[in-house]
Amino acid sequence: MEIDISEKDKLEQEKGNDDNSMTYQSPGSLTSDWHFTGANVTTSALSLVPSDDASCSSATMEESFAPPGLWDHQTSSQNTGFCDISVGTGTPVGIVTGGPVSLSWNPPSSVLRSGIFLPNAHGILPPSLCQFPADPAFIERAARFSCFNSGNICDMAHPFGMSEVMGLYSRGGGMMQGLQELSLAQKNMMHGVGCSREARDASLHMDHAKPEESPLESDRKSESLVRSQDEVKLGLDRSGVDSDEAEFSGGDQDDATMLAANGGKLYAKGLNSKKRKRNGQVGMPGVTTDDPEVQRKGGKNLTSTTNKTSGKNAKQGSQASDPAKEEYIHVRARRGQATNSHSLAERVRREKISERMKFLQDLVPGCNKVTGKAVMLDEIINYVQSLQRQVEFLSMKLATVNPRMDFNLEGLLAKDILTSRAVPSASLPFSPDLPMSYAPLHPSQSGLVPAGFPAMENHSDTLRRTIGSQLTSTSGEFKQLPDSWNNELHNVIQMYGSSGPQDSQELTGPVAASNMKDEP
Amino acid sequence: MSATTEQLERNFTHRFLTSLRRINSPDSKTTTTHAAGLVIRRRSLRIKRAAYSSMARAAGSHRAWTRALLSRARSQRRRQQHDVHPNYIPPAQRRKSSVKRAAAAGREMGRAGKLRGLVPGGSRMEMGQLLEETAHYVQCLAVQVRVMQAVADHFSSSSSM
Repeated sequence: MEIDISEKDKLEQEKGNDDNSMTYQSPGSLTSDWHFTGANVTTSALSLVPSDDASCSSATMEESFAPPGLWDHQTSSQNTGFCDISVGTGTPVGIVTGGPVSLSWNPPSSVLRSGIFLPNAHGILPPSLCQFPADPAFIERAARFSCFNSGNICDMAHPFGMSEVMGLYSRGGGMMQGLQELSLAQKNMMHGVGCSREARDASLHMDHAKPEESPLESDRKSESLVRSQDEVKLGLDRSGVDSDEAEFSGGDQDDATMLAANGGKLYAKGLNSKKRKRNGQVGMPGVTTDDPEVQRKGGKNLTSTTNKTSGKNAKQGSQASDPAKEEYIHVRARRGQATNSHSLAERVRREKISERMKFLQDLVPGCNKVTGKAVMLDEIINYVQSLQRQVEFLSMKLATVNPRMDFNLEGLLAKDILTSRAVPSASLPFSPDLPMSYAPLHPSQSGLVPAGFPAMENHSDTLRRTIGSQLTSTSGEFKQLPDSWNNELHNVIQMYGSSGPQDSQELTGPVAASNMKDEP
Repeated sequence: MSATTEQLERNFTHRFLTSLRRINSPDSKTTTTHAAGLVIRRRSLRIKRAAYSSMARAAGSHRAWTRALLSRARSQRRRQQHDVHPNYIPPAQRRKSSVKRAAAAGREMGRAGKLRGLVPGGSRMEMGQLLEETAHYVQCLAVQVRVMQAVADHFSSSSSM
């Protein structure tokens, strides 16, 4: 397929980043210029999207601008397939071409004019993201961003990145419109990713960007932006996509759809309402045939549309299916879904939440088989409660253990403790399969945690005895201590793998545990 | 990720041990007046609060839950210092924030409300942010438990030997 070919071309061209700058130029035609390092991205693929999408996106992302004719083909087919995927994967790599990526990115003025902004604007990667400097470490960062840590960075980055991007964009001249768009898209995209950095980089490159715009272009861009929204999960990868889209300077491309990064929602409305002059020209099958709403790059939705378009050469597909839709902006939302801006925003929010739930699923042990938000939430709540109970238990234990810390230096202690953790406790006579599952971060050290429980059990016995002996005047509360300890221990053990030795005491349920609990 | 976790561990261990030493060594007002049982209980409370504060500081203040936890600790400390009885809540504070927030968290039925109650500062966040904070909170809690377990083992083993 042409797409494949273009993909390969792109890949090769990725190496020649400079080509991009050279090819840039056709002020009027933005579409072809969009080849972002999407190809690079795909190769570097942090998280590759289904091949369909990848091929599509790569087509758009090509850094080296293929001849407009070729691009048209690709773009059309790609429109359906969101490029987000390729973007996401290749972001750091592909995009950065040392050269001035100032791909003439026509800010989707049309989109902006539509005035539809994504309600939840996360940091959106500016299209110029593609201009990221090829930073090998960046890829790793990007990869990391998509995971937990990304949240941290994002939190920090959002306001910062946004402002930077905004500022830089304005400098770009004529990019004001695009700015808003970008910011929106960026926010969507970056939510999981360390967007600040990308935003900054992107914005830097924005200076070069020329505001070549045509309403068509902008529409297209918005489309792709919308699509790439889904890519957010890919983290950087997504940003790559966005930037690729932005640089799409081929005027004829309907690939604007590919652009869609988070701005999908935003654009969807605007684009739909807009008339596109060029829609007819370029066989953008994706655009026309695609669903009217482009929101994200839902893999399946896109592939379905993509398949359609790719099957026939985008041109045919688009034209055949959509002469009536020519005037509408490319599909932003998924097929058969509401185009209402509210529902789009809702969808974005829901996807964000589901992405976070997936992340939590990895954190909480034993949640792999659990499906569904409700059960998952229950598991999470149980886990957090158990951890807090363990903290309480351990603090009680530490209070009874009277440490002779006078002579111990903190550093010495810390080192001892840190090193001793590698070695399972010697007092672990029992099978260590207790809360094995609840050592998610360091499985290698999980031996300690399970070991702790049986050890604790021993300690509780001895402690009980010592405490009992010490207390002549027993306060009710004190007597409760060993009982609650055992209860707590048993509770925890029971809940999370209770194959350890059972104490003779009966479990009184969480009552005793709750007595101990003052506050988390 | 593991590098961050290890760094967090080291940071937390350091702070926690510092506060442990501070709690254990002076022992000014613990032993004399109260019964032995209460002494232990009070000390365990302080240790627990110290553990959470150390973890919040080690994790950094760019997280919403760490800020919420630290501000809660600060207000609790102020309350304890000023009022004799720790359960006493100044009327103004009781009226304004805590009740409303608790009610808001409780009003949201079901699991989300429960989760908000568990994660510090959770009542103010919306769902997306809540989940993110929960993830980070869970990671830090796991580290905290691990370190505390190691410390307890270390001390108990050294004292028994």
